[in-house]
Amino acid sequence: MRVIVVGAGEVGSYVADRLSREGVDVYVVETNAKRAAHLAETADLEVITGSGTHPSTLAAAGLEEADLLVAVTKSDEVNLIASMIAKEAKVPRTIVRIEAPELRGLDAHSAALRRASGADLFIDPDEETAQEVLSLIEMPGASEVVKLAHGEVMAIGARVPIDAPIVNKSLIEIGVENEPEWDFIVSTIRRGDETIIPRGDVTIEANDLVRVVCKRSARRKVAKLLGLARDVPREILLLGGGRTSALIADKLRHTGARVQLIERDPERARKLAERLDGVRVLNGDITDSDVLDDADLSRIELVAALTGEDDANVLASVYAKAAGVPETIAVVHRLNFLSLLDQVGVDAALSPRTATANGVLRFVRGDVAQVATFLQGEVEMLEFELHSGSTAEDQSIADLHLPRDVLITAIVRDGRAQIARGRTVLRKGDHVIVVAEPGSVDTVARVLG
Amino acid sequence: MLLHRSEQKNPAFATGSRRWHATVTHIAGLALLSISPGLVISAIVELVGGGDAAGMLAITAVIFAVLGAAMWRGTQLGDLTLRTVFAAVGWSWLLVSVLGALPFVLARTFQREGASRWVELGDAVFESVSGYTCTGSTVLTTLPDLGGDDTQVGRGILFYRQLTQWYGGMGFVQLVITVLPTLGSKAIGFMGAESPGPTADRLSPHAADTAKILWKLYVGGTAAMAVAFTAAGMNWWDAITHSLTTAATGGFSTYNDSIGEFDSLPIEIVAQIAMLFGGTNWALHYLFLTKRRTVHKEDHEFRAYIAMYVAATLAISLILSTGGEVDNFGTALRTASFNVASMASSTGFGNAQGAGSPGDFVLWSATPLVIMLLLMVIGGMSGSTAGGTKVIRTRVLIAISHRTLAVARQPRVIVPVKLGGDVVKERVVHRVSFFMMAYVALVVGGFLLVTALGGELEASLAGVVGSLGNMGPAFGAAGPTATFLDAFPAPARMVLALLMLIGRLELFAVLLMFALPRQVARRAKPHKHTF
Repeated sequence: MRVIVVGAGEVGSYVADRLSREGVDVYVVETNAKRAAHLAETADLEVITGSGTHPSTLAAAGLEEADLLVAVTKSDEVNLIASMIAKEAKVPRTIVRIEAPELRGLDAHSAALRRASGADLFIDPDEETAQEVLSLIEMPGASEVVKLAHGEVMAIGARVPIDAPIVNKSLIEIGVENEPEWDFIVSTIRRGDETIIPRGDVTIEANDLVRVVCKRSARRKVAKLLGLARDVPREILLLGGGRTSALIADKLRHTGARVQLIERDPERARKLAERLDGVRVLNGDITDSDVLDDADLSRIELVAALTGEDDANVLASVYAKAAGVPETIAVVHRLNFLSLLDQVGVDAALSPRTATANGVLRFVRGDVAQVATFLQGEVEMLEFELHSGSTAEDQSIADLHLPRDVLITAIVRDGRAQIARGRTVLRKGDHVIVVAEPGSVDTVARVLG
Repeated sequence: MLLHRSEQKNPAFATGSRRWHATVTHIAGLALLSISPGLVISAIVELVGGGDAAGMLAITAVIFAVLGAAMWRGTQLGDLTLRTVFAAVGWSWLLVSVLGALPFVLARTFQREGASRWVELGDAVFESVSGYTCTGSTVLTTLPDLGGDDTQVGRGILFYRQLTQWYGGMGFVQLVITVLPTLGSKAIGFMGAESPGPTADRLSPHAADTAKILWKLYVGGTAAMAVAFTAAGMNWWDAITHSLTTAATGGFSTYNDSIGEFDSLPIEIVAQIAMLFGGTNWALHYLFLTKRRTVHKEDHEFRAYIAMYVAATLAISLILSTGGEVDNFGTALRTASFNVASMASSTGFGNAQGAGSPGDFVLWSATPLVIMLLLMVIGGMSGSTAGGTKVIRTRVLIAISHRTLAVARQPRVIVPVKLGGDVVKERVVHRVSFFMMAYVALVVGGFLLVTALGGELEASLAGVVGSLGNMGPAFGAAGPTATFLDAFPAPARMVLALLMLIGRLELFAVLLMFALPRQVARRAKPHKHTF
């Protein structure tokens, strides 16, 4: 498979690197020679220096043979044009990153423009990150929240505390307690550096990172089982005034929450204050404790650190935690120290890269409706739609004989979610939510696709 | 009021500063010229009405035409910096309103027993300034009562007196710029310098077209008011003369008892609606006619303006009826709503039937009077013909106070000044703060000066606030049924006339008008050293 990635920024480099590790032939197009050289040195892929809007540059990247073009520069215009060129060259699929809300609108003109670009998927990493943070705010204590099948199914990940009701129970015991109708299922357990897709005899221990897949209606119950039962925070402090932060603040201010936001650049802070009615915007450096104290940390129930600087985000989160803020969320861009974060006081970490990677993987994996990946652990969560003529049609799950590192967790039939059991029979049109190790994804795709 | 930063760096400024007077003369000449048709019409009215001042009005018309034409033709538009624009507007107004006293002087309208020629001259100027600035304070004692003898003052003179307010309402400089296409982008500066409010609305990409639109609308609005007055029972003469001063929210009446003379509820209701109409941003009326029917409802300043009217009306009617000052709530409501509309729109019409009647608000208790004083301070909307500090400035001031408190509580917080979701630009915020400070200083200074010159306490306070806000009647001995003669000595009246001009041009034009020559003098200094 051949993939062209236009733009070697944070998102582009991550996607390119991830795909190349999976054996995909990756060609990256980047205008900035320095950045191009850096990526070429650190990743196993080919970098072409030039503009993604020039057909010749794209041709040099092997446009004719490409299966997928991913245009993820910071410029909407470049991304749209790259996609148009790719479509002219009969590239089967393109993914385009668009940030301007004017271009993402539902009106006829922007819809026509998007159609003209021919792109199969539009992504906005900032918007996805904002959605992730909002989901985490709704589920305080969780370190990951993923919504699948239009939100009918949720995957909630959390490091379980010692007093959580689920601790020291085997999955069989938990299953028996919840008979006859299960509304959740433990999909993965991460203990130390190892992630497993557990069988019934596995016992959950304190401090495990447990991912539970559940019906949306059961999310409160799951939160309780995972020891997360807390009130949704009403006093929220957002650190950094970037686009993600502004999107979050804009959503939160309509929920009745009291939102404060700290931005370092006075001009940007002024613009945000003008735009975000009801959000209290402070101007200052988030690594300055005086600035954080000015926001009255003793009253804050959740801090989300969203600046572009990892060190500032982590430092501010640690300070907030020490000042008694119960909940901290941090965006991290470099993933090297990820495993250390929850030890120092960051309750949930997320990266703007994953959203894009998830979008790209949908096409690399074949006809998958949705893919979720996680910062910790290699497992993937995939949503397949069962087409007629599939080998799995009208078969019970037990009869599919899937590999041991694959688990069908939930099925959405006619918009209604149910947790999968061995005896569940799959039907045409079902959306099947599967947890799998990357190595087994192809097998799953063959059976369900 | 637009401030173009780039203008200050304009290399033409150095040469232009020497030619600032050319621009001023050019514009002022055109302004004089624009008044002369009104004088001609007044002369015809005087002739038809059988008065003896037709000749005086005609002479004034000729003087305005000849002098205006000479000033206009003899100069070319020079430098058009912000200061020059303000100075041109300021000097045009001063010239027109002072020379506008000529018909009164020539016709000896203010001849009184025991008054010297100087006092008579001063009264004529006072009346003219009060007219052009749409204030409506009067020193004319010889106004007729309805059905009574009206030969003391000729109809032509009365008509001219009403017309001064009509010219001043939408502004004659705005009228002038409709014929000056060469002004281009600077035209909006002239409009800003003359029209009330912190910013001027643009209704067309061309500023001159905006002025044209507003003047057409103004003429149409005046005609509509005349028709409405006729429908409510006025005769055509009363309807025309009163519509001229209602559209302008001026408040001159041809009767001593003002609207109270008619003792008619329909006329009072029409007058009330018409006054509130005049006190509204005329750009809204235009948008209502051409674009959306909901512009008024959507406008935050209009909502505040109407809310203020309703609240003040209810408060005053309740106080008047419960305090026993008025027999029943119905009368209280009628009296209060009319006078509140008159104050909120800075018109100054009264509905009292003689001294001591319910509408004679000088007899009200303190609280309703203070409410009236507050209305005088706030006044109408920006972009209207009304005076006062404008509803929008009060709202900006409240927003500034809110910000100041928020910053005191949380030093790093950033609170933009907003009006109904729209951000008020920082330079407008600064200018509004300055305006309000200067306004307070002028009230205090004016109050001090007027009382020092012999004005009585209550009348002086309301007189100063009312003059700055172009209201009309004051309190005490200068109430709605009285003139300004008893309450203020002649020198104090001159101070009030000056305050009217400052208030009508919203401080800046008058302040910059006097600052300019010094500027020029300072710039000219190096030349002397070269000798």
